[in-house]
Amino acid sequence: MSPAADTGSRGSGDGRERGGGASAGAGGGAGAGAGRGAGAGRGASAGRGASAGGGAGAAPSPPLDALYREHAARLLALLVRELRDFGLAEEALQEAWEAALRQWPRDGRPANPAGWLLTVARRRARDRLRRAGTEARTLPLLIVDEDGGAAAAAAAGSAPGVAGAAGAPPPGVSGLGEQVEEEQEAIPDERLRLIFTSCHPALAPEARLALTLRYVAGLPTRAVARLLLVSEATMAARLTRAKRKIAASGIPYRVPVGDELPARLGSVLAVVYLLFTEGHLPSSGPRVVRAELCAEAIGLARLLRELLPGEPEATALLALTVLQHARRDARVDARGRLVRLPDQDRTRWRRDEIAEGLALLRAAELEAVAAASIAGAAARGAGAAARGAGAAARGAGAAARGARAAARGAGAAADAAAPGPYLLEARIAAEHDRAATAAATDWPAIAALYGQLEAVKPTPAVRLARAVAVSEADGPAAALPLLDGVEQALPHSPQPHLARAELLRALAREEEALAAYDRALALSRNEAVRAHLAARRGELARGR
Amino acid sequence: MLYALLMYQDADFDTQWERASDAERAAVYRQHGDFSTLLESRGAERGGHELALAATATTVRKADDTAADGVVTDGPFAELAEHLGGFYIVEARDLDEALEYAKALPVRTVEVRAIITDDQRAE
Repeated sequence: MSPAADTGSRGSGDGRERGGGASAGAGGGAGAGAGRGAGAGRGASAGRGASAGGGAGAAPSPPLDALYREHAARLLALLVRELRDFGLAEEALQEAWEAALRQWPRDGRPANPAGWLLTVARRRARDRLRRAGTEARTLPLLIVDEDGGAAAAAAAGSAPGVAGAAGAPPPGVSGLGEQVEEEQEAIPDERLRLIFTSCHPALAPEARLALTLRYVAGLPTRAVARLLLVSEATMAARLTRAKRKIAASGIPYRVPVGDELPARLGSVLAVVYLLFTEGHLPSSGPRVVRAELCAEAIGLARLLRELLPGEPEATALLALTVLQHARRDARVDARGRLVRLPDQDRTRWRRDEIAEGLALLRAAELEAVAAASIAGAAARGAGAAARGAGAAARGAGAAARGARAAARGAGAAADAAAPGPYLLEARIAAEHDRAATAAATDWPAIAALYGQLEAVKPTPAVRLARAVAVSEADGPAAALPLLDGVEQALPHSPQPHLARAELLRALAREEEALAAYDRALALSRNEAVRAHLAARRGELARGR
Repeated sequence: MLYALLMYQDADFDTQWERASDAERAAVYRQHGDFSTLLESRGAERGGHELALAATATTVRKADDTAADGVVTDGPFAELAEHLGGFYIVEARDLDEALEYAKALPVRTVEVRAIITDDQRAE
């Protein structure tokens, strides 16, 4: 199940968050088999990329858990592609990790740990298939595109270590352990496939969140359960169900192309942003900010940007999350209460992170311009093709279909030219972050941006945010009509009632404001938000 | 993989269908004909049938799976808002392709289910 051991407080992806809370863990002693339950390790800090090892401090090499997290997603992604079976790939990698925990502390860490893990995992998978007598399995459980399948079969067959595995002693029996030739092979990055599979729209939303944290972020099941506020058993069952659905329903293991990419990319970005907002504004529980969840989401956004270079919405999502997360310290007061944006101590905003977020936003803007000009050229081409095909068609079915496809292409290209929702949201976050004081906030600009956002993403949540911005820009009377219908569209959210209460209060309609506070209180499950609501209501009630 | 595309009709479809003119019915059949043409052009068609109206269904309920006898009742198995109206069997590379076919169907609700083949059972 969970490599890196089902245990341990983790550091967040952001070393600053935890001050390097990782004990240099993965205690080899807990080793064998302990990965399934007993604590093999603690606190993989950081994990990926540049920040790896940063939290662990003085250790000359990263702790084993950090090392595992750095490589887990990449190794799993490759193994799933080769083996065409999510469960088998996961088990093989888990066994390889357990072997590493036994062997590395004794024999020293190999020069190429990822290559070592890959070789042993392939060997274990081959052993399992042989034991199960399904070596020549006729039907893949997980479909791979044809070229990928062929390449994968070749890779599995010729993998160093796999061929020689027949005579190898079983693990743990021989004192020699795994004999692995030094691997020089570069490990191809198949993580994008893993991400698109984990975020497939045919999976339930909560399953997408769980799969993404477990397999893309490489967190142990227990950590995923804690982040998503369910028990470990519930999370384990949810992951098992999700993997069964992937295998049984034929959810593909590939990166979508062409027409289908924009919608599927939207699904991936939505998963990451939902994880972020659950951390930024938890829907339940005692805390106002769950920075560790925000940090995981930002880590995933960084990964997406790395894997989708030049994709403006991926860059914009990263900019947006970084810009919002930079305000986290000011959003909670010393007693753990929510502090609203106008009341925040802006000296506690993290200037270095804001600078990074603004730089990312500029990058996203440039990428959007580039994408729009490419899309514009494509649209002109497609339009011409459509006209040509239409003229040539005169009822010929194939040509007519071609013309329709070209017209669709042109439509998609036109959509691509408009700023995407994450770019607009990042611009909004940047407006707030740039304002030196609350009074200096450019509310007319923000209200206009929300108007644009509502045009591309007409959801009640966007309408709600726009109403708040319009209230600041043009006064509460202008904003109040915008809230009509929002409460009904978000029947479980206290936020529209809170917004209405504040607008009514500003308009001195106190009775109605109190009633709206009461409705908000009745719906709020986040204790910090409840405290804020009760305080606001109390002020108004006393003031009358 | 093989997939079943299960087409669900609104519960009042029976009435609508009975009242439909010949031209209206022909239009619906033409849409399904187009869909079959699409499947054939991609070598994906593996079968399928229109089912008789849900009101004409008969349901057998037994005490348990292996009971020898059961109660026979008139009508579909559950009083759902939508009834199974027919199905196609298609060959698709993966769920994405099956969903593409489902979206091309002239039916509001389509349930997509992978079919377990003998080969898979043997595994």
